[in-house]
Amino acid sequence: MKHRGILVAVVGVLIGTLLAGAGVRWWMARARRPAPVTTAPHVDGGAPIPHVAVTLFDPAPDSDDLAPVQQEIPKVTDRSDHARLVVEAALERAVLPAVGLWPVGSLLRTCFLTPGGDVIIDLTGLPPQGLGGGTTAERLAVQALVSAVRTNIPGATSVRFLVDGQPATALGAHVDLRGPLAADRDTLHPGGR
Amino acid sequence: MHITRPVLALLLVTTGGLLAAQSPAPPQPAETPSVPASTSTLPPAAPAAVSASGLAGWIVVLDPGHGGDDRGVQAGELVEAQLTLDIAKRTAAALSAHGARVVLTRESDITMDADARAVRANQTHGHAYLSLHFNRSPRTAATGAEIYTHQPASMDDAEPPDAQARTLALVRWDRVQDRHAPAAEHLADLLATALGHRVPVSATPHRRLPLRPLAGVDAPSVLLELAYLSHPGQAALAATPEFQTAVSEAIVEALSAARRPPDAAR
Repeated sequence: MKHRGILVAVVGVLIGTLLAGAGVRWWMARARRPAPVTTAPHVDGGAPIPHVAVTLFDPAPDSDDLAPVQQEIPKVTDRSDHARLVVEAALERAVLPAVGLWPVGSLLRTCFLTPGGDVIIDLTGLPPQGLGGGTTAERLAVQALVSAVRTNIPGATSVRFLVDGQPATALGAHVDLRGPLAADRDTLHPGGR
Repeated sequence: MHITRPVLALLLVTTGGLLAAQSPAPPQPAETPSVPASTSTLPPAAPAAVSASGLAGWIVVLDPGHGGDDRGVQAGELVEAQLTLDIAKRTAAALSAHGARVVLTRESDITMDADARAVRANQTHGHAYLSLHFNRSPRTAATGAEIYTHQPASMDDAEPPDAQARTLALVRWDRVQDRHAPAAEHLADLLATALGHRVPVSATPHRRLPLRPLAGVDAPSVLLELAYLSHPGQAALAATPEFQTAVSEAIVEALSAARRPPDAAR
């Protein structure tokens, strides 16, 4: 009986020591953790990836315009890479069912910024009939990407669309994509101008 | 000799350009359309003061949007491609009754691309081109008719006139609508007013965009989005004969006003 009491006490001390050690390790790791707003978690054990806030666009809740939303994307120094990340984030957001601007499955094939300031957006995964009709839906879909470029990519002067590597004339039956597109200020919600 | 479609189109445009001088009068300020209280019902129809021969001598091209493989907006059993064809045929009858010669770009459920529609319009040397559509928005509360006119994507690459270097002006296919912009704006304002008296219209009834179906048309052109099929009430309304008749009457009234000389319109 006496031995059993000693055994219980030893086990209790051991468990307490383990818990205290884990607590200290958690506290030290928490103290070293970078601010969540500006960095992402470590990837593959490497250095934390710095992020930057960009302005993307959702349909406005109370009008047929676009409204700005803030989102973070990885921060890169190359302007063309930055353009690709901005458009990628804008398209990924636009296909979310809650946003509903682009058909599910729409993907960015490639995107780059030319020295002249043209942002070339090459899309894939679109349905055969494009965006599915409706000038308003088509206008908002196109302008969500164009406005993201205009707002977040300094030096970008226009946007050109390709689909599966070929120049796109339209993504439906309405908006003409043959020329370089400038951001349509009329489409932006007052908060986004 | 093999003549490609773009070359043929350019020839048609160049020939059709001779009619540009016949474009309707410069824009006159139009009254602001009244927005009906309900977006799913029709207001009391305003009497249209249009003479039975008010459109005599005019050629009107009606373009029922979509068709064939391209169904356009679909809402339940409603299909935009069929609705636009129904309204085009109804409107064609009303316009013909007022003396106009009406050409439909398609008269059945066939696939047509935008260039083929423009070629059809330019072959007929129409005085006005109306592309008929129904709208969709990710915001299901969106309602009301909208009228769009063509706005060039960018004027930066417009070719400057150089009369000394050229003896024949070349008009780019995607630029031909530009020279009809004032008359198209005027027609859009007239349509906004006429539609606003008869059917629900959007809070912003007249918008400008680079529009694929209008860019190559050599006549004052507008694209009509007559109602939002993404709105359940509007979709039900759009399928009714009353709505379609109201739209056709509004088009007759607006085109008759556009046809009249400015002095007669006052």
